[in-house]
Amino acid sequence: MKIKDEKSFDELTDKEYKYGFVTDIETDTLPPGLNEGIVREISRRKEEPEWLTEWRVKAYHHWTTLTPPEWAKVEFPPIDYQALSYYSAPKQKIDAPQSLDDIDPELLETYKKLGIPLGEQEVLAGVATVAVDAVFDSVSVATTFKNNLEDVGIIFGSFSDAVKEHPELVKKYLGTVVPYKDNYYATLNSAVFSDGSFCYIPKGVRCPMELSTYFRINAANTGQFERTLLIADEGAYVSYLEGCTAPQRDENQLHAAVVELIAHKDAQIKYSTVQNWYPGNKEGKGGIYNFVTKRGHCRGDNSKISWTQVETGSAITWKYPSCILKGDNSVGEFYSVAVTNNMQQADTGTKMVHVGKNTRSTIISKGISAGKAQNTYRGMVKVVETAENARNYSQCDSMLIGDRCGAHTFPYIDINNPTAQVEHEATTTKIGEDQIFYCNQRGLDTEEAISLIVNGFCKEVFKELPMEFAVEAQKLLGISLEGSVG
Amino acid sequence: MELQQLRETAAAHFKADGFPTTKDERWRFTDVSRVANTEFSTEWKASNLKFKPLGDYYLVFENGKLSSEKSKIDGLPAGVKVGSIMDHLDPRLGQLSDSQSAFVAANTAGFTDGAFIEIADGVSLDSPIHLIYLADLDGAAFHVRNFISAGKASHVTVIEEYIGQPNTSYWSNAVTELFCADHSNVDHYKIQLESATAFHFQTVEAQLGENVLFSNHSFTLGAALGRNDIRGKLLGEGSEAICNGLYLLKDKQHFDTHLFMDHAVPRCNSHELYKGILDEKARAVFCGRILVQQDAQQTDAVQSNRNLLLSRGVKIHSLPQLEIYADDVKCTHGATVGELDEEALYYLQTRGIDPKQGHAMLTYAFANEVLDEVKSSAVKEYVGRLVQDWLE
Repeated sequence: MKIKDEKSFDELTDKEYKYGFVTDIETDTLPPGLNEGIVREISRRKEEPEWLTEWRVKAYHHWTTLTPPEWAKVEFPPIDYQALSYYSAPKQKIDAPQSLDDIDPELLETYKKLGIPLGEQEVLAGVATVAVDAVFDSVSVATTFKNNLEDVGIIFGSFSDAVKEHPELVKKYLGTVVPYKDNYYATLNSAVFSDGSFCYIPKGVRCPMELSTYFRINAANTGQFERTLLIADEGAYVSYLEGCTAPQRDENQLHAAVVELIAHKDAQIKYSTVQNWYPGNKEGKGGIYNFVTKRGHCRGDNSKISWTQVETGSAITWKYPSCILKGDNSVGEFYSVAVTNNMQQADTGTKMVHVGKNTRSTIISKGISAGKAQNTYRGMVKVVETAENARNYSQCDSMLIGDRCGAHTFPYIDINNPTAQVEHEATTTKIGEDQIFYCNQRGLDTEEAISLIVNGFCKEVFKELPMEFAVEAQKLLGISLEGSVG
Repeated sequence: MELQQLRETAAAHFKADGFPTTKDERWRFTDVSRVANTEFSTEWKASNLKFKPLGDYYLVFENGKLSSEKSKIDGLPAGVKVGSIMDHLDPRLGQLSDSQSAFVAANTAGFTDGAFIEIADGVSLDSPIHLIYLADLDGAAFHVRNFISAGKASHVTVIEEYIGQPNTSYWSNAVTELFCADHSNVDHYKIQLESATAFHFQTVEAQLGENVLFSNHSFTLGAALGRNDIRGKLLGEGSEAICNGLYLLKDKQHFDTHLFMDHAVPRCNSHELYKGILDEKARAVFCGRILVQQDAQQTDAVQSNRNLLLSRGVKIHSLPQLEIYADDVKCTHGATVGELDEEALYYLQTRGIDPKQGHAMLTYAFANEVLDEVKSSAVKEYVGRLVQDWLE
């Protein structure tokens, strides 16, 4: 393969990130720095009950005893946690927006640009088929279809509202999957998380529409720390989507979120992410550090949690959506596409912990590395003594585009029960030159050919995504790899 | 580097870092505090253990010291030097050994004997050289250092066999360095039959020039706690390295295998097949890392780790790893863990083979895949019998 010519190469790499704009909006931001006072101040501003404030403070004190993890195959200068601001909220005229009319038009404009429908009237026009909780910097700004969902008993909205309206549920579940002592970033999140989404699907309810959270980082020099808590009670079903973008800035920004999923008996949760944070420019300047802890707990028998992720953005991704398969016959799934281009680094994978009998898990991971990027799959399959007849199948494929990038695979297989059947397979290959040649022959240029081949490579994962997301993901993949021909 | 200087550097390194702990990622699943907390004596005595040579030439080490009476090296063709490492110090000694490892440092600082084998350019040795290490001294530590150098276009087979007296406790800590010059063909075997109450650690490091054919087979049956570190460096184009192994563990045996294959140049192949059978409360660790450096285009690397679990209480940690910086490569790895196939057992039963016998047949067949790859018929036959005995 050859670079067509320098000029078109540059054009391609420059047009990469279309969500890089900044929204000019008045914000209410806490001064930079982190101490107990800041943690208490965040809690006070959110009018939280005392137990939550104390929980945050406990987490903060624990965090001060920790050191950042260094085992991941990523490199970045140490983060100065005192230089970050831990709270940034768009200023609102009224305390809580009652309807979309109360939301700053600038904000609505932002979401419109991002293609996120916040107006419910759009559903009538056939635009929106999902309920969206939009999180702007640190706070949730709008939740659509709240009423429709309430009719079937589903609670869906911002985390802060849930703390006020359903404190018993929050208290019962918060930190039960990702405890505040879990890891460096999760502990930091527990201390300073500002908002996020909360969702509760009651017994036997099948959520009538896709639920979605849209995360947007806007302010500079802030960290975004949201927390998502999703509970599917007995026999419930929910499909949940998450999307993310951020403006194009020269500094690196930290995003340290926590997602906790709980599936009770016979419940099913499908959690899909399309992560498209700003990846930094070609030289690796700027971009988001995406250090996220996501974990699902199959608490009841026959429950199922399925993670699907398409990771195209972020300067650094450090993310391992996991499943703890505690209930008998529970099922965990992980489908992932991680694309890294230019100077991006991704260290991502999953953990499947088999505890219950006849538990099953499937891991399909596709890593694509281009430019000077480093893409690592790191995963663990653990079968404990009690997990009779556990079954796991893992497949990790990597594709390399260009000779300056790296693809790495680090699985950990940890088996303590002889009835387990565990299989792991990994392959690493170059993008097929004959395939590209064949496409060229049929009149497709090399860019298009790569996009086509890569999409085919990722098909197993894309077919798990909900319809709207699958289309977006395919387009995103094309954009992320533009300029990678070399 | 002078030996004295080499020893001092290693001793200082060991003194500074000490034994690894489970906090060290490379030792995460293998706790060596039992070795660290034991005082080993420096006494010596001759060994009463019996052995059976697998070739025309053999060196016998009794509790870490070469016995020239028991050894036989007469009749070696011209251009082949075999003897004690203490009499032949090669300037390349210590060049390969992984200085990061406490066990290698302890060996470098304190080795008392070991084998030296040098094959001149173009010399081909038909019969294997058998290195036999006998251990029957309770409470002792044996640091054996082997140095093997195969000249250009030479051909040699070396078998290392570690035999221990049952119920004796000792620490066997060996290091073998192999230099394989261009176009050489080197087959290296290791049969480990240490006492089930002993500690056994060995690092094998091989450096391969151009168009080398190198194979390493490790058969592990002994030791209460042990580890093999096998490291291959592919420094010349067109070489092929095969690293296979079989570990059969029972009781409370804990055995760790760490493989590292470093592809530094283009057009090399490496194949690794490791199989394990675990019974009772045994625990196995397998970590196989393949590194493909940026220039190592057209690398073909295949690694596979398969484990058969025979009983409740066994534990297996398998970590196959790929680290790839070149794009025009074919690299795969696979790992499986499971029981015997019920359907295969059933099939055998329908053919009149009772479950017990069927079980033994299938288990042997599982292990046999590794034996199939063994080129030396003497080793194949001998290890085949050891596997049969183990299964019974």
